[in-house]
Amino acid sequence: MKNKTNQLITLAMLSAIAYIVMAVGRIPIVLFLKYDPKDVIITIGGFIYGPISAFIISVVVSFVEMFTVSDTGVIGFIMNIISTCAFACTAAYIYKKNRTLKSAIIGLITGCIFMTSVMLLWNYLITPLYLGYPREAVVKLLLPAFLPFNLLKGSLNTAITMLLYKPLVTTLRKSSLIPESVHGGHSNKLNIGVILVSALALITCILIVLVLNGNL
Amino acid sequence: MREITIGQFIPGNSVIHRLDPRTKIIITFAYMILLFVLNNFYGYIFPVSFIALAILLSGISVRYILKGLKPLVFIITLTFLLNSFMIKGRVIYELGPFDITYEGLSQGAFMAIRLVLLIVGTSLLTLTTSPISLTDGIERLLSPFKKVGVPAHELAMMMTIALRFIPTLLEETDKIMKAQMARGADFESGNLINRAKNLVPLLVPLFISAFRRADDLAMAMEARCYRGGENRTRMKELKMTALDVSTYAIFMVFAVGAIISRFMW
Repeated sequence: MKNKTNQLITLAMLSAIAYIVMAVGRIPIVLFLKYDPKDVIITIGGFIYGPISAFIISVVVSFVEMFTVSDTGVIGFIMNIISTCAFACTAAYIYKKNRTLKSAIIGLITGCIFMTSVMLLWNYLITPLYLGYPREAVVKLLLPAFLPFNLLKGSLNTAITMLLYKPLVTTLRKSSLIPESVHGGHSNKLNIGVILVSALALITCILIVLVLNGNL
Repeated sequence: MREITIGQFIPGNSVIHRLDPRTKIIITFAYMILLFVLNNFYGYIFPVSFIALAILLSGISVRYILKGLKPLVFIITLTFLLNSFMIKGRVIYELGPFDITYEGLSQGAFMAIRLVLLIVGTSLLTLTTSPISLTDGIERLLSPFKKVGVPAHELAMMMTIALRFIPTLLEETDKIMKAQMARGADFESGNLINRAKNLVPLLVPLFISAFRRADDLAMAMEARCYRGGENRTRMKELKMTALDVSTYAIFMVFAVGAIISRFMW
């Protein structure tokens, strides 16, 4: 990257593009679940600048989304970040290790599976709290609604990212707007990633324990 | 597609508009937590009267706020119905495989009211606070966490830039779309994969233009010696006034009332 300011602003621009894509292409599918293609932009951002950048973009976009178009408030914000990161950061992380087409595909598919499982778990934990559905009702919804929705969302994202990434990056490189290949993120950045992942795991565990004890 | 408005902010000069954004954010959060503390219908008196007072002071018409609930009618109804059907108890009416029970109805109504109050509370925040002052407030609220590595200033700066450039890039998208359509591109027909493929000639120029703008902006900022959040001064300092203090005090009264209500009935 050329310098810190430049990266900061480029990430902000990517957030703006992701927001536009989200606002234009938002399609409600079932219940409060909506598909929007912003994950594609965030994943592409992650492929270019690494997983931490993908996380930052998703925080910024979710935030702007929360106080502009969203109607699910803080819970929608948290779920939004978790779902986007589960997909985009996983994919970007695997791709960063080994920059080949094969690892990009593996990364995207892993991200897709990881996102689906994380979202199933979190929906199971959070939805009863938020909408007051009894937990048994949520369990009944998990398989027919949440599972196909998340799989559909993941595979659409995977397909669109695969289609878009190569032409985009080639053109950007040609006009020398991004460097030939970015080797960002050494030990320091990796630590932040580890902290974030373990924080997510920890919160999930706490929620599971609370649910099992019947406190929520 | 240019019809998208960013933010629901309604400019005004009411007491609520003039509150410090930090106060509004903190109180909105506390209000949401309060809603989850309540466990009976009587407790709702407190949040309902608090939010009614806030709406009255903000000078925003109730009709406008209710209009914001419209997209959520479906989910509120669903919440009500799911709760009504799924909870076992005294049966009032049998409807095929489902029983409508007394407990189910009251639980359903309870949850539906909570959902409505949650939404009204958050939308009042966004209706009375401009996105820019919201990001300002967020930056200040997050700044204590800078020590543990939360990039508060950078996040707020990115949000501000993103908000600033959303309309510009939207206009750009529109322009590119028209230009490509004039060259025979087709964005509206074909199956899903074809449509996704058609996005390439739209997104590539959009990305390039966005990256160029980023380059220009970065250069302009560096030329003005931008170097991150350290020692940066602001034109408009956020200040807590007597108004904010009294808001906290009023909220505390309602909060204590609500917490007591949990044990009274």
